[in-house]
Amino acid sequence: MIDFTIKRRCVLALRKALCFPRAVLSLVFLFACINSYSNKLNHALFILSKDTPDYRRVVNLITTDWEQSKNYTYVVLIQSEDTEIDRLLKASDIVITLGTSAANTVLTKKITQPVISTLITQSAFNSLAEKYYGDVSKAIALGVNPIVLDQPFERHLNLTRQLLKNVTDVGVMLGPSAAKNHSAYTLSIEERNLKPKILLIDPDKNPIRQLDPVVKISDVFIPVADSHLINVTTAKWILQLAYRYRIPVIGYSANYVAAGALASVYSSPEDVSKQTLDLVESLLAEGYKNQVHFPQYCTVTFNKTVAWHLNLTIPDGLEKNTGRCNL
Amino acid sequence: MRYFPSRNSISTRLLVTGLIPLTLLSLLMGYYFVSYQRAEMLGNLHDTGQIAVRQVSQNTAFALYSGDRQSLDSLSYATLETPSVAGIVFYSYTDEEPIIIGDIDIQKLPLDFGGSEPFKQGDHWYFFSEILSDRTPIMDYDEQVRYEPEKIGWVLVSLSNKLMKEKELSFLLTAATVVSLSLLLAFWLSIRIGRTVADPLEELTEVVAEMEAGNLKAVASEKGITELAQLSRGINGLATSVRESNQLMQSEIIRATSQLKIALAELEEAMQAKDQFLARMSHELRTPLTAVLGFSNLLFTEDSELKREEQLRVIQRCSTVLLTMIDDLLDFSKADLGGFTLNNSAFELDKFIEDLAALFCLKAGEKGLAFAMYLEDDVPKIIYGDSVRLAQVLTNVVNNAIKFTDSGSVDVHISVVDYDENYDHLTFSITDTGKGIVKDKIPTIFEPFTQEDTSINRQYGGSGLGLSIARRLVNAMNGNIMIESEVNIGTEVIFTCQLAKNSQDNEALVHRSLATAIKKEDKVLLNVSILLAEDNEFNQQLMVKLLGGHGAICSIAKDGQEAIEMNRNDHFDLILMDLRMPIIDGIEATKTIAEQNEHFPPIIGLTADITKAEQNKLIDAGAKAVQFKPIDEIALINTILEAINPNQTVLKYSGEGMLASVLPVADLNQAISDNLDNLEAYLQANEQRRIRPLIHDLLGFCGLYGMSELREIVLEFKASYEVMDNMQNLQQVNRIRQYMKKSAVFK
Repeated sequence: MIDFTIKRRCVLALRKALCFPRAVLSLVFLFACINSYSNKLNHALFILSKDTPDYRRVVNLITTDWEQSKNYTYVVLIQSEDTEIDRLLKASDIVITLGTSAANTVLTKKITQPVISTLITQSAFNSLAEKYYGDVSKAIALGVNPIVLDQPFERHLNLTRQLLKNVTDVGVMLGPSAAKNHSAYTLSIEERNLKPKILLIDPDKNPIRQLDPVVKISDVFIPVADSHLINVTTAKWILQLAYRYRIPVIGYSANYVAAGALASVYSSPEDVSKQTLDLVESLLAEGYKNQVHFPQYCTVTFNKTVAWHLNLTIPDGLEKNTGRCNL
Repeated sequence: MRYFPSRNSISTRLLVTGLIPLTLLSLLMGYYFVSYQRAEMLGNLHDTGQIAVRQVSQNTAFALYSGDRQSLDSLSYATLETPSVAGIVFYSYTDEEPIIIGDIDIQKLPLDFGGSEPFKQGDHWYFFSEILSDRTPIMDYDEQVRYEPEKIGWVLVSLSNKLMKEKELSFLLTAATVVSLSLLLAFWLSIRIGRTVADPLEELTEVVAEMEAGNLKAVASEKGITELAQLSRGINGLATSVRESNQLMQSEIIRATSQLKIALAELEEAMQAKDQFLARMSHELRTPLTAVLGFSNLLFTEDSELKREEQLRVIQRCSTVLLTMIDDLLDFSKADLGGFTLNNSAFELDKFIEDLAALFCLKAGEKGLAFAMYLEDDVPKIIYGDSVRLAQVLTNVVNNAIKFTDSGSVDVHISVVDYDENYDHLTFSITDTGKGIVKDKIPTIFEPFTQEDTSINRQYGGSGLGLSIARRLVNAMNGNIMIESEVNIGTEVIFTCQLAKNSQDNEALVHRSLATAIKKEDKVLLNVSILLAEDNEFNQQLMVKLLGGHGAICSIAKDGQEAIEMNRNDHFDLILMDLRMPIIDGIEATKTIAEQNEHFPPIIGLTADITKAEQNKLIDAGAKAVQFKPIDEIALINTILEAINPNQTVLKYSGEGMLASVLPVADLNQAISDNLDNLEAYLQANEQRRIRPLIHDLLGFCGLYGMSELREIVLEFKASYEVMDNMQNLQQVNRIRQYMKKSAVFK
């Protein structure tokens, strides 16, 4: 049986979409696929920060899976000032946010239904959680389940090790957020018989002048994702200094590789959707998980041009590394 | 060739016309190219500066941000190698001191420089740019749309315009050289073009001036520019035409001058002849007039009847001479005005010749000359022509022959020289043994007012118009007249005339003979009332006597006005209207009378003016006919009869011959009586040889004075006297004498 309210919303959303396909962000697109109605039909609400292809792909991958199982109804909402968001939130059994902005919108509501916050960095989530819930643990306790983009540092080291067998000095830049775990980073490096060259970056100082001495003495440089400002401000200089000193950079995103890093291990939309599906199933079946979810799935990408310039060869096994992460 | 033409010359104008625009064009082009080049160089300088500052700002961001002075110097020196780049100033917002590389004095710069527009200070241009640091979006799923670049400092690039100025100066010099060369070229071209056009024109002008000065043989060159060559051809053609016209005109002038000279000579001769003629006419007219006046005065005091008659005869003879001369003049004038009008009619040529012969014999006899007329057998008896004019010619020539022959004879031969179906061409040859005419005078002898020499006039008198009139009359009769003469041997005058062979007027010839029956005593105008409008008293008396003699009753009006009034008040059968009258002249009076009454009496005009115009005026005014003064009595009476009886065609008054009105009856009576006395004497003496000339004389008188009846009697006598005896002949003579006694003509 079809939920009348949802159906009507779907029609309205469709009409609006036909009239103003790209103009109004607050339009609700209803992609509801109403299948056979089981005994317990779960209703999900997707809230997207932006209508980007990556976000859509994540949603599509999830809902495609749901359409096969026929246990879910859902509404996809692009984050806006739509006043109906509250009613939609109330009508949902589970809320999935995509992006920092969508997470910000939902976390302000402090709803009681479980929330899965995806496509967000750990630092961003921590910031929001502290802002609206006091600290991260409270947020998690109240049903907020972040699936962060930050790959575990070990994966970077493993990748480095597999990729650059002869390196010894590993330069690592840590921002204010990661600085708290400085020792853990050092330990991880040393566990792999590498020499850590840790740089705790000060956002108020000239980053080049901070980075230069570390990069200069490193065989490979691994920047650890931090706040947005740190990430953006330092990336260019890291790459330029790495270029100057002809050392590879192991990044944490596909964009980093595109900008000049040798390789990155990161979460692709497929990786995120798989983990989200797993988490939804888990949450609905087993209840609250109350933790920060690091990426279970990962993808490795390389910049062959940089590799060629650095006279490096990409091992065959790494080049197509995607799926559940084995790094 | 003139190298410095005047200001108004074509070459100067062409030079100015060509030079000014070319100069302006060259200057404008020069200015444009210099300005363009300068702007181009400045633009290039700016482009260089902009590119340099942009490149430096982009390339040096990392070095500046990282404080890498070595990289900064390296990059800057590379930029400083760019021409005109003099120096670079870097400033990092994190440092306090700017980094200066190259030649640039930052102290001289203004404090507020900045912005994208370059500025100039001294000899340098400065280009400013911020040094930015881009922020690379390295995060996946980043929600940030765009990252504002971070300003990390600025750079100021200094470019010296020294090089530009050097180039500018170089270009300026080049442009000046090119413009100067262009101007020189323009000047040279203008002069060339000017000369190309002006030289042929000046040459042409010189040729035209030469032609104007009179040298029409000057030739303009027909080479060169097409239009000028055409103009030259035209001028040459014109000159040739003018030259030919001049030649033609000169020849015409020469011809006209010679003609004028001839005409002048002829005119002078004519004037001379006219003067001589006037003098002669004066003399000729005064001489008989003196006699008339003198004898007229004597008549008042002369008591003797015999002497009075003698004096009257002299007066009549002199008047006759005067009339003859006036007639000559009138004939000549008439011939000059339009030729003679011949009144042709049929007449008997033999009788005509006999009548004239009688007269000539008389005259020749008076001078003791032998006279003979020979009429060839082939000459027709009756011919058609103007007998009066023929008689006039013959009389003139024969009288001249008699006049200029002192001894010997005068012979007249008449023959037919040619004939055809309609005409006989008669030749009259008059030969005398007179003094002859000098050969070179013969061609002028027929000219009017011309005689062989003035002595002839003095010796023989005459108007000098006789032969001239004779020639014109002969010409009018389609004939010719010529003279052959030899001095002291004699002269032969030959003239021809064309006379009609047959005539339909033969019957009229008979009628005229019959009409001669009417005589004066018949009173043909009995009781005819005539109004005579005449202002001259003597003419009034003459006309009254003449018309009264024919039975007419005359009333006199002394002018036109009076004639009009009298006609209005009384009835007249006829009006005789003089032309020249006081108050109202004859023409006006005739017109008024004709307008007064539709049935006005017939009017006959009287005038001494023989011109056709006057005659026509009178006829147009209403006159029926015109009679000329002096009045021919016969013609007048016949005209009156015709006017009052228009249907009467047979009744014609003949009078007593054509000289009846001018020759006194007493003289005629005496002449015939003397002739008859001589005839009787010669018959009694049986001198047959002398009888014949006397009979011819009688016939001449009869013909001349219109005495037809008497002429018949004389002809009868002439035909029979040779076969009759003396008694019978004397009876015939007596018969003639009786007839004379009975005839009114001799009373």
